[in-house]
Amino acid sequence: MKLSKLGACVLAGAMLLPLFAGCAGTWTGGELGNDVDLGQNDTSNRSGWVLRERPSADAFADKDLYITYFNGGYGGAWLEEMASTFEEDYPGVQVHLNPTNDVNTTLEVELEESPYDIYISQDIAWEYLGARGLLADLTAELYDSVIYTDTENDNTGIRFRDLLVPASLACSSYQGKYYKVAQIQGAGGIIYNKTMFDQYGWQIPATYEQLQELCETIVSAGKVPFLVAGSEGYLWDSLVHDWWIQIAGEEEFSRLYAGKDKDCWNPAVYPYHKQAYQYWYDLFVKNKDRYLYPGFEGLDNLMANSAFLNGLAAMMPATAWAVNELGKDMIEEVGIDVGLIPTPYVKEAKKDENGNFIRVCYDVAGRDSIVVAERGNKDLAIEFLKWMSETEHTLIFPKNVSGTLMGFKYETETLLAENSPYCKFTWDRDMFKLLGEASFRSTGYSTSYLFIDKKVSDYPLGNKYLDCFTNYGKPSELTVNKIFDDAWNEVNGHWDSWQIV
Amino acid sequence: MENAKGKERKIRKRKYNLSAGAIVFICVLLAYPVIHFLITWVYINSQTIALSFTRYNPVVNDYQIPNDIFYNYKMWIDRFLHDERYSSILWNSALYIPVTCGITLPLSVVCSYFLYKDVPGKNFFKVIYFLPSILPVVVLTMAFRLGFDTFGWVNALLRAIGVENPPIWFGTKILTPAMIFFYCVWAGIGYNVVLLSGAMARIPRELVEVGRLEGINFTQEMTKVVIPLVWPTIVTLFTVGMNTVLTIYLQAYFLMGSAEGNFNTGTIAMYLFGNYSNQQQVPQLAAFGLLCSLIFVPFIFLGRKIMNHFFKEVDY
Repeated sequence: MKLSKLGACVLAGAMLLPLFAGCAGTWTGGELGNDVDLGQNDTSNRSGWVLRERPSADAFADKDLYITYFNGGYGGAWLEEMASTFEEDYPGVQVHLNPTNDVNTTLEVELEESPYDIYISQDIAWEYLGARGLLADLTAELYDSVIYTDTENDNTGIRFRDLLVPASLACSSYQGKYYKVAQIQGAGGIIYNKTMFDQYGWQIPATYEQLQELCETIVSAGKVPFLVAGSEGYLWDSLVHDWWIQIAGEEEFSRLYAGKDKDCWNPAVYPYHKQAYQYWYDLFVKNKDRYLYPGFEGLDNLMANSAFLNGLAAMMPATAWAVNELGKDMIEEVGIDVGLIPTPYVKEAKKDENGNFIRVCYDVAGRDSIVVAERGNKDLAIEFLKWMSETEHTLIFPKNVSGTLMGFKYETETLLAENSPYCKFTWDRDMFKLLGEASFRSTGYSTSYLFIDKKVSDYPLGNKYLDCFTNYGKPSELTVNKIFDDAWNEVNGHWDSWQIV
Repeated sequence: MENAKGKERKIRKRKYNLSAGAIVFICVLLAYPVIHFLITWVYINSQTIALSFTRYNPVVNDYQIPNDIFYNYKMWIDRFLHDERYSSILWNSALYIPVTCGITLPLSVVCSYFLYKDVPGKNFFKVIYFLPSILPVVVLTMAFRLGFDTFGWVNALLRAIGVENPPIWFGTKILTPAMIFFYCVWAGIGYNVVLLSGAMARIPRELVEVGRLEGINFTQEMTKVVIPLVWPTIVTLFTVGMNTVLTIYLQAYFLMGSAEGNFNTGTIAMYLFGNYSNQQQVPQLAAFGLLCSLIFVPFIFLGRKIMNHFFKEVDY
């Protein structure tokens, strides 16, 4: 008995030892580091651009480049084409691709031990890994490197950073350094069955009121306007966040993501998000039985996509990868065409000096990352990314992935040209047009510690979309007022304790 | 002094009468479990405890002890008490105890008893019961989910027999968790049946025959003879079943296709699984896991203690 007590004490001591052994130091105060320069040179006219002189393969001691990528959403065909083209351009270099369904589980250990050279995936904790020194700091070697020289503009160097769209540039730095390249730029909205629209003569709605009218028209035709997976609440963000940006404008929308003012979660002071949410609630929750497919709450994404392809509803809320998830082959097999309806304008939407509504878009897809391992074949990996940013190579992506672009700037005319290889469906053309028109695009990324640590989000209490629809056997009692009041109480009550620096 | 020590060593050696080879053998035999224990239990748990008192400090990009050393624990207690998102995780997880121990286990005992009684087609039923346990959980959940989806065969059947509005099995706050519990019962019986069948097969025939001579019926045989004799196995399965409160997540994750816990389906383990890739949150998750363990482990021990009091262990 005495021995077992002694043993327990020893064990307890052993377990508590690290607490006193300095495994975690005392708190260090200080600043988080300056924000990076987001300034860009003019890239509006490419006619005088001259490409840099690329190094030959001999410049690289290690000629093997290993890339691992998440084999979901966008598939691997684009990367395979890029790899083979890169090998042609750099004779002697070999690119090895490793598709995987899970990049993140072993990522940190891999980066510490024997990493791949490039990782491409969603949800990479790149801020943390970068600050730990496991990801290459791309600021000087990539972002500041000159890819083109603009001979028609005083031989201005067009740097890698100038070739990225502003939203992609803004979501790639942490504590003053660039650690990632934003893989995707896209937009959300509504995917529609164009074949069905053409058959019934339905018009594309430009405003919220027109969308309401369209839903009524579709119902009167005996069809169901909308379908959505009951398991995927975030899909509604494509509409709600767009309306939020339309109402708030770029500056006010971005203010929340700065994470410095708790009043951004106070609907009395910052009403834009709540207004947008109310628009969604009024249209979809209040008319659930008429505008949404019966039983949609019980569908997962796969089933919802399948139901849409089979014409059970005319529209679905959509993110940039909608067509890729539906499957290009499946769309062709079913024999329909699909298109994108940009989020219709609400009446409070901001207008330009000519009185026209300003087109904005929220992009859920824009947070996917390309990162370079610090301990990998860094030089060749960075060369690959430079090469990727060259105009002709950026086009490999939309050629293989329907209606989606990389984080680089594209010339809309090239994408939308007649017989364009980049436009297979109406969706592709609509998407490229939307991206070209949008004066502001946001991925909802924040460098604020409160966001990175998930203390706050744009929805402090979750998005609640699904909960608004259903509460077994009776209508949900959740209201927009309750959602936003609860959120404000949460933020207001905890704001001080959340502050860390 | 040296002589005294040497004498003592000799006495000890004589007491156990161990040769040098035997000592080496014992050391080698014990090395693996001891090292395993030190690494996977002492080291891991001590690190977890230490981490739970830290917070991620972005200034140094490391975990450090904040001014309020109990920050994480206070935060979670506050969340559990005042935030439905997190309190529901505890409730959802706790419900797996009655489901696993109160439904799956008794059903498994009954099923095992029927197999033990040599019902016709016994081996066929064994395969039926055990099949869900050997199929990958991702396949099984998909098959289950597709059957109960809006367009699944269950609703098609209900419509065919005149039910106009069949339920949305995976789309409501109450029915969805119930469906996940149903799945767990269905898929969980097989594993228990195999273990219980093995235990029942060891029951000496003479004991059962004595019962028969005494004129007991099937129910009495099951409750008065068989269950007491396999009680240690039942207690083990009961304890394992109670542990699910802290460990279950895959079933709900695959059935709902999300780690967010849609429709009231989040569990303790699923919350950890869904957030671990965010390295900044690791200290919070460590505190979360430890606090949940502190809440539920006493219940698990209590349950085991109570169960051990029902029947005394019998050697046969």
